[in-house]
Amino acid sequence: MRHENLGIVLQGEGVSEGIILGSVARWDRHETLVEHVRLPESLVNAEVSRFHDAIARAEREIDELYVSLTSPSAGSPAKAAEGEHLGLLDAHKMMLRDPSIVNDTERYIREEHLNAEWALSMTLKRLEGMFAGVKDPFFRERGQDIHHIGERLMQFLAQGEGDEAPPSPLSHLPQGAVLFAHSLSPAEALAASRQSIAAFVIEAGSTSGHTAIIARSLGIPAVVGLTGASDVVGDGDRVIVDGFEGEIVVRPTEYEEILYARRANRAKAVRRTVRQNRTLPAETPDGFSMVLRANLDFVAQAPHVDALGGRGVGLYRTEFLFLERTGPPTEDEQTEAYTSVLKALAPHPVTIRTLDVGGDKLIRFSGPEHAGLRAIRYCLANEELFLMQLRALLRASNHGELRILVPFIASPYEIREVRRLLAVASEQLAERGISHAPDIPVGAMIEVPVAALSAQQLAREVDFFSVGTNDLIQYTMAVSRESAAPDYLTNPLQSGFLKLLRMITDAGHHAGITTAICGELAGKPWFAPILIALGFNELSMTPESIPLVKEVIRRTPRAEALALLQKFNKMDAEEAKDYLDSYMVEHFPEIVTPRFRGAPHYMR
Amino acid sequence: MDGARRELVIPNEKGLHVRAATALARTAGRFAAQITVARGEERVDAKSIMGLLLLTASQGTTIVVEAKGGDATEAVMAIGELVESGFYE
Repeated sequence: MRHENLGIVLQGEGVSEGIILGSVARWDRHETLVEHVRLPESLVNAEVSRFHDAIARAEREIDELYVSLTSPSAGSPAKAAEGEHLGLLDAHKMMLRDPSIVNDTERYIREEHLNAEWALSMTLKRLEGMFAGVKDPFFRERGQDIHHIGERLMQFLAQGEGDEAPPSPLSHLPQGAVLFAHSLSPAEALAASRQSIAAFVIEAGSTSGHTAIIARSLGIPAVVGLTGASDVVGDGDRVIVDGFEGEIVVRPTEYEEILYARRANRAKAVRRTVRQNRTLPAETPDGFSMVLRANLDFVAQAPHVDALGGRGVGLYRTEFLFLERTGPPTEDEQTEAYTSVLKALAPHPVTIRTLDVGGDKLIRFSGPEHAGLRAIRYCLANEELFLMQLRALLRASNHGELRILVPFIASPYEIREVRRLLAVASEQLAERGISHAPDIPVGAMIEVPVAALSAQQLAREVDFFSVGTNDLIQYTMAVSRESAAPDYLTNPLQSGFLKLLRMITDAGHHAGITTAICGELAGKPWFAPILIALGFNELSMTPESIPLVKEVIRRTPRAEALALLQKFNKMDAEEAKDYLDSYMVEHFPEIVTPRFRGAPHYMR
Repeated sequence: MDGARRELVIPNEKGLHVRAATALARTAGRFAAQITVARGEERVDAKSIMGLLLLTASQGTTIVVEAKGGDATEAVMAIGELVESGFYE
């Protein structure tokens, strides 16, 4: 195979997994020709309401997109990390009613008697011009958002009266095509999701979050951040899209096609194998049993837990109830939210974490005196707010298997306070004639290093431990969440970090309580042997990670995992990581290497 | 008091970007008062995300929030709290 015959390889960022060979369909946004009409005075009011009607319909479309992205029918629903992209939809929705758009457009209609399209286009041009003049590229890029929402408003205006949405902007694309576009607005991404698009290739990077979510929810590959990609492809060109590696190969050779087909088959094999273990227990061949649970953010995700072979919920976050609002949610509102998740997962337990705000979490109604306090520290300083949540939890406990998890525990004192307040909440409910489930387990989230060091003392106060690995490693290694740390600082095989984990499981086993882990590491297949060796009883992770982790557990004898951990005592963390990597490649080639590392692309 | 004014420094790493601007505009939208945010000579409507983004206020930028009308004091206080918390990021 001669090199000059190889296809063009472009490297972007893979944002949705999968490998596909398909043909290119380029898509450019066609500017609607803007009609310019001067209106008679008598039509001005009607024109203003026509404009507002278009805004309302564009808003409804965003709501619909939001729902379709967070509902279980979307396939795999949005993950917590995707909240930021969903936040962009929120911003788009607010931009539709932005005074700088609404007031100026209205003024053009009322004072200069322009039709709505003309008025809007004047407003948008002015705004886009202002953004184009911004020096900082980070802010300049937002001009894209104005373009997107303006375009869609124009389409709704063109549609005129009536409830029908304008025709899907991508409806003319051939089915099963690989869509190449500079960027997609949320509305366009929604439209694309209704076509049978085989893969997305998007030139823009940072504004493509919603496309990534949609691609993941449909299970089709997507690569973003490929500047100039549309320039080197023609409609109908064959193209390989590798969403694992973020690579695309335009007009591949026959040889490349064969190699990529192999990679695609391997990726499929993984999915096939894991589908088979759905109903099987997470038990090692030598009989060590673990329970795999899900981390959930939305009740809508509940059906996925069982579908992917998980049992109940090891972490249900409650922050979403408190964020982005001006006052705390009422007790009834909270009770309803907790009840619905407990019911959805019954008879399996649902571990609900009490409010974890402060740090990077937004809450609107806290007083400035609590600005520095996070999680349980904040809750103990805001007793009334915390009592309200505890009452809601107790009330919900009648409807399922509730476990209460308290975040950011540093001292046994905090647990004693939680128990005292739980008793107070219980009495307050009793006065109102409301009962609750007896003996609700209370657990400590172990994410502050001192909690791991005090695990023995803490174990006497709680019914279970759940380790938050992200924060624990961050606080242990003194790296900040905001800045990217070099790999060696986040290597969980650092002997000190493994020692902390061991202290937690040892203390838990000694006290006879469950030790769980609900941080990111629980969902990493390559780390599972370490968790088996350390003797964790429960792992909680994003539902999508359950099958692969279960597969590793079912094929790793605990004795072997223990021997592996033993070996790490004599290695430094980097050696240990290399060793674990090669162990995983040897034993789980289809799980840890759906890609071929290291080799040039044409050799893979 | 009918007017309120407060000088603030943008504390968060990403500055007054989309999420922060959305949060600020939404907070401002809760109040009846006329609220503006200024950076140097440039002054925008605090209820407009577009305007706020156009201030291109990155980390460390000083902004001045001013409000007029019935709930001006509360509005400036709420915005001050939001900004000083780093938009709760």
